[in-house]
Amino acid sequence: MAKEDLPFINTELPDLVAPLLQKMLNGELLSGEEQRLLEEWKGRSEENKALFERLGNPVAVHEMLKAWHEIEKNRELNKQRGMNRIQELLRTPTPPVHQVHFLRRRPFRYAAAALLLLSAGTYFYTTHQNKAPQLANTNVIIAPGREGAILTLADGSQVVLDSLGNGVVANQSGVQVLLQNGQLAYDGSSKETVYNTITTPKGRQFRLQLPDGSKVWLNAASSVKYPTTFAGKERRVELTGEAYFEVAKNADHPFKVKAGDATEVEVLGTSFNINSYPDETTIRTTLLDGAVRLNAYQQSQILKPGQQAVVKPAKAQLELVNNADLDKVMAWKNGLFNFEDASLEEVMRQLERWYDIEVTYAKGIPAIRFGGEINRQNTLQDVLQILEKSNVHFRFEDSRKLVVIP
Amino acid sequence: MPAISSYEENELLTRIAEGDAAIYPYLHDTYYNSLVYFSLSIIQDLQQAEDIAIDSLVKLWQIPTRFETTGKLRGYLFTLVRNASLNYLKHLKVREKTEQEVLTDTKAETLVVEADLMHLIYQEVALLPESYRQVLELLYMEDLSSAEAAAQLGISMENLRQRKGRALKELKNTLLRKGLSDVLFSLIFF
Repeated sequence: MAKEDLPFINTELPDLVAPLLQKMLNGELLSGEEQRLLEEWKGRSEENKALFERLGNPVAVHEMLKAWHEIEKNRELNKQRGMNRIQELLRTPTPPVHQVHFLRRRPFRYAAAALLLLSAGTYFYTTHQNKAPQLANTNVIIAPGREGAILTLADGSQVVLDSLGNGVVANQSGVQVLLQNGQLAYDGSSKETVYNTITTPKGRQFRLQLPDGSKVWLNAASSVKYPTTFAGKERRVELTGEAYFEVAKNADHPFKVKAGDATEVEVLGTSFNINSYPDETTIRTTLLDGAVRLNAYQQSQILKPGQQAVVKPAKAQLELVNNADLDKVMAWKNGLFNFEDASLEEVMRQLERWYDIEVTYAKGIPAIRFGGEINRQNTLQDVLQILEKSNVHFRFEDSRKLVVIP
Repeated sequence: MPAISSYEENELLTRIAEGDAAIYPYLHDTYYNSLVYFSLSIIQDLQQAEDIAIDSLVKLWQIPTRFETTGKLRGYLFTLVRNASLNYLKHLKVREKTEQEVLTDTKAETLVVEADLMHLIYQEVALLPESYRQVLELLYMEDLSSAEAAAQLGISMENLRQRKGRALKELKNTLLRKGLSDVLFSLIFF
């Protein structure tokens, strides 16, 4: 670039003038000082004067706006290109993509996770010798999440299901609510439609069988609301967070899941997973078997097995992914974290939900992505030790507050 | 204009120097459109202008830079884009032997103002509710016919007509609520 013979562009004056021109176009009154500034700017060059005159011409303004609009249309796409370029650039000296190396091949991952569990103590000790690991400043070991949930009955009263044994939990207008080996089920039916809600807090997951026999696996920090008897034409439930459904076939009574404000999944007899956590920017519906129709923002999309529909509420958009990573989508239900091509933030959000912690970030964290799988039965400290091999470190502010540090 | 404070500018430059890629989306959203618009006005080739804008933003990571005083980042980016745009024209000239208009320093400054102004005006439209905004974009910024716009949105002509009416009213109201006349309004939707 021939920098040497060209002067630096000074934006001081443009910084002041553009808002004044906008004010003028909006018909706002300019102060005496502002008018003087604008006149001075106009007098500075023929080009300024010409621009000022063009702003009085609707056709010209229309053309300018159209040019801007064309640019705006590719902004997101090109943001990704820029991002990729920078990541590539940063990768050259120190690779920002880090693999959680072990557990790559399926037959080995459970064994490896068990091995890790056994060796964690030793590993912790030895690293402590060399270079005080940041994690050493806590003695509290944070256990993984487990089975459990809160049942909210029709009258608003709540039952904690963590510690109850098998038996009748409640009676809802003649319908019995049963707990069997940690799974909730319904027996009987009633004329009256009342609603129950199952909520998992952070650090809990839960299984239940809906009154129609459909099965629901609820991930941590999620809830599902449903009637204790499905009356009427449609079977409707509402989901927040993440769940995997195996819907009992009944062609006469379509099953519908509402997730978020504008996404509805219409089920035609089938197994699928919905991830609709409010802190994720998308609502992802992935079909494993059968067929579902997805309705969102006046768009409708039928999914085939292996396909994933991605709803982006911020853009009111619905997109289709043809070959979804089913291992990744279903990992939670299979007792695993799958961090394949996951950003640091994505990983930390999953840890927040499963270990019931809050994560904050210090400055200067590199943008890294991970790969591989980790057993969800590891303690938080074990998982963090693995992640620390990827050029990122952690510090506990208190027993439930974790800070990510470079 | 798209005013970032000197604190923010320092923070940005520090993070870039530290090799923090996570700040890129913010930087991109703040500067990308203006830089493309600026380059496009010089070289008249959208795709090439997009490449030049991205190159210039990425350059901040390639050669982390500090300035003697704050408030210089924007000027620096526009400078990079101007230089790259002129360079591109030089090559083009060699190949095609076309006469290009000379880009004087004053012309470059005027273009910066124009880009900034478009940024501000476009923001007004961006504030409209999504369904209204879509209609206005298709009809006025992409110059589609009513039938084409309706087909693209998957709605009826009648529905389109209603949405358009409501969108225009909404935009007018927004301007009026701010105590403004509708000069701008009639300029955009003449």
